[in-house]
Amino acid sequence: MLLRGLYRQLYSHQQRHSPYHYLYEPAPVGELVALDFETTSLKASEAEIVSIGAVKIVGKQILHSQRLDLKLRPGVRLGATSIKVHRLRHQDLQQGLPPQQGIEQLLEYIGPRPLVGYNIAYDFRILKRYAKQLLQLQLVNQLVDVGQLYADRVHLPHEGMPANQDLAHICDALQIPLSARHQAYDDALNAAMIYLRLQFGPRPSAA
Amino acid sequence: MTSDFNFQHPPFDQLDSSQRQLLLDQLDIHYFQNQEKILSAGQESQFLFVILKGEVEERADNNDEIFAHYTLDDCFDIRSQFGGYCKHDYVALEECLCFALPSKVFRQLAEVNSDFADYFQNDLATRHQLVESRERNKNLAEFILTTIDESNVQLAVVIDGDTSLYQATKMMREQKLESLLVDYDGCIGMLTGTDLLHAAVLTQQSLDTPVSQLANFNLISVEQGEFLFNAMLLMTRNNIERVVVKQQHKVVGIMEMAHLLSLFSTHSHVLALQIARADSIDELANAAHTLNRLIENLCNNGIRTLFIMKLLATMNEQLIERVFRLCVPEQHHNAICLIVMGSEGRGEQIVKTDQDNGLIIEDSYDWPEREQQLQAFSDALLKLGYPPCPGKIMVNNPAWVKSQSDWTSTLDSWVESGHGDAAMNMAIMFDAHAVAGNRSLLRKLKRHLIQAMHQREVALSFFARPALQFSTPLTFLGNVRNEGIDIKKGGIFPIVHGVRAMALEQGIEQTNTLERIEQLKQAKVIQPEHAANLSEALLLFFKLRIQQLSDKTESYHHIDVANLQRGQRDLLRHALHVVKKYKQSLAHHFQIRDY
Repeated sequence: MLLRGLYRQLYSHQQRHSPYHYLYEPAPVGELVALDFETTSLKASEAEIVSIGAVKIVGKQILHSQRLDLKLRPGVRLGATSIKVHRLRHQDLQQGLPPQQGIEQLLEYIGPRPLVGYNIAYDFRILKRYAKQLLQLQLVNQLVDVGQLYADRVHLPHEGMPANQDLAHICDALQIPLSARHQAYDDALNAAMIYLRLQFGPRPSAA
Repeated sequence: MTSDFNFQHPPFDQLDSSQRQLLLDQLDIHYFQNQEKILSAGQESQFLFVILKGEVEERADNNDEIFAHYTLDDCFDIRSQFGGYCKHDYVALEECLCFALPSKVFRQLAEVNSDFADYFQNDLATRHQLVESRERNKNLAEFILTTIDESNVQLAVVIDGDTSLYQATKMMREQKLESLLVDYDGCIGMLTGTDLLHAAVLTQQSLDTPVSQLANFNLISVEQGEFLFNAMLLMTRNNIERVVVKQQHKVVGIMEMAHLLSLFSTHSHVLALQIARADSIDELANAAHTLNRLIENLCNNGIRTLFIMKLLATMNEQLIERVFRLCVPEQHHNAICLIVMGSEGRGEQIVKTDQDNGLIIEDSYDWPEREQQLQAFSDALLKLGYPPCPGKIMVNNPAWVKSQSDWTSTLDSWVESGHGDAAMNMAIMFDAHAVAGNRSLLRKLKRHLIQAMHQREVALSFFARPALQFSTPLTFLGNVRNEGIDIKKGGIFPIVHGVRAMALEQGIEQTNTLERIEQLKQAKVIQPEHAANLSEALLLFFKLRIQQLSDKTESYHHIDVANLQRGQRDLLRHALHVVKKYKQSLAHHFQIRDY
């Protein structure tokens, strides 16, 4: 936390004349962005982003009307296994944006806001890699992992028992309607709902 | 996301795909904490909320009156969407997630799509029609898409080609068949009643002519598994009444036009014939059993409520009349009148109800076997599946079998006392409907009752009072969930009894509540638009009760609101509002205070 603050100041100074300076300003109070990527691989170091879903959370509202739902043109052929997971074939993505343009749009949308997601650290690692390679930028956004948030909040019957952080389980426990999964935007929206529920609702209990 | 917003229910099902996209693009999702105020009275509305999860309560801003509850897929606040302010507070009863559609977009959609707009601006009657018309289409579709299978094919009786004309005719008559299949050296032909008639009468063939000479071997057939609709087309096109059903070149049965049509109208005319022809209680019991199945069938097919009620009332009346004829000799009928009362008298029952019946006898008519015959009648009804009336309002109870002058004085004493049982009996008697015997006996009694109550405002006011005794369950999703509402107390009874009191006051002789409402409208006692809404509300309650019935729940007065579809819940809410308004006007009309 402290380290992130220091880095933020450092980059803010480095980028003081660049158009990306906004990334290092203080985040607007009460605003976050729920984010999810569909990628070509599960390895953060080599995964390519095929689609981006992001939605702003302002206070207790999810701004679906201002959502970001993008498809990116991948550089390499898609692996057969990943096609099965997110159902985006190579030809579906030829209409997609060039990666650099997509990432620029996404960064502009996110700004300095904290990122919310399920397993968000994974998505953030990929985003950092893209930002560094394409735009020579270092990202310092705060992260809120809804799985972790749930584990922190949930009331467990026994001390020290690990919480079930499975997404389907969380949605079920919080009675959040789980929409068709494995589409970036749906997953982001889902994370946003879980976040609001955990942030403002009563403490859930593991049944 | 796209899958989360429910476009199945009216009015959103009216939007075309581009309008749906517009709506989806403009939606936000808002989260509300338990007890958080979502909208305040006097506030201008910015969004139309559609509930994705949770429950919301609409209440007066001083917190002392609750107007409605909303749950999954319900939308609020509609009134303030077309400019104007929220009239009440909206409070989350538990955590809620709501879709928020900007009012601007909502109005834009209403502007470009008049069907969508209509839904919000129409009154209950029209709204109900919108819902029902869609359901009707569904039924037709179901009929058309039904395929021919064992359940709807009639088994064919196959006889040998050498069978004589006489034997074949006898067989048809004994087995009540319309047609036979004739096997003549492996060739299958069809022989119908008409063929036999022609042979015997027109061409005057001898009675031992083999049927192979009469049958038609040029058969038209359908395959099992084809659509019913195709069988119907085939018959219409070839101008024939029946086709053979085959399965892989083997005849499995016959499909007749009459049967096919009855699959659609579900035997109602057949049943009427069955009742009229019955010569014994056992045969009637058979018909009564069919009646039950018929009703179930009609309900499952979603036939209009009004039609089911009318049909059931008619069939019941015919059944009871037939039983009466079998139990009480014809010679007495001119001097007596059998009446049915309660919901049966009003023609509003949707199940075979208790035996609510009585008898009026002409003064000084002597009839020694009376008691045994009436007892036999009650027993026969019991056998037909009409349970005895818990209040003993039956002809085997002497209190409900009286001479005309005894009835007159009983009515007078009821009118005089005007309380409790007397008022209830008066209500029961006022709904009486003559089923058999001399109907003018009842007419005279009713006129007497109307005359006796005429201009007695205090007595009428007492009579009307029970209509107001149950509160209207507008808060049906209260904190106790799954409690449901009692549709009889909350909706049906206030309307039925209120309308009954008004009809009594106005001297209207009809017994059916809908007909009474119509008469009251013509007498300008109820305003036309109120009359229409009142009738629709009542029909809706009946319909919900029928549905409940087919769901096999223990009590059919009990509506489980949470299980209703949104469109129906919406209608129910609206209908209960109609009841509430009607009760207010009833209190005003009869000068009832502090109810």
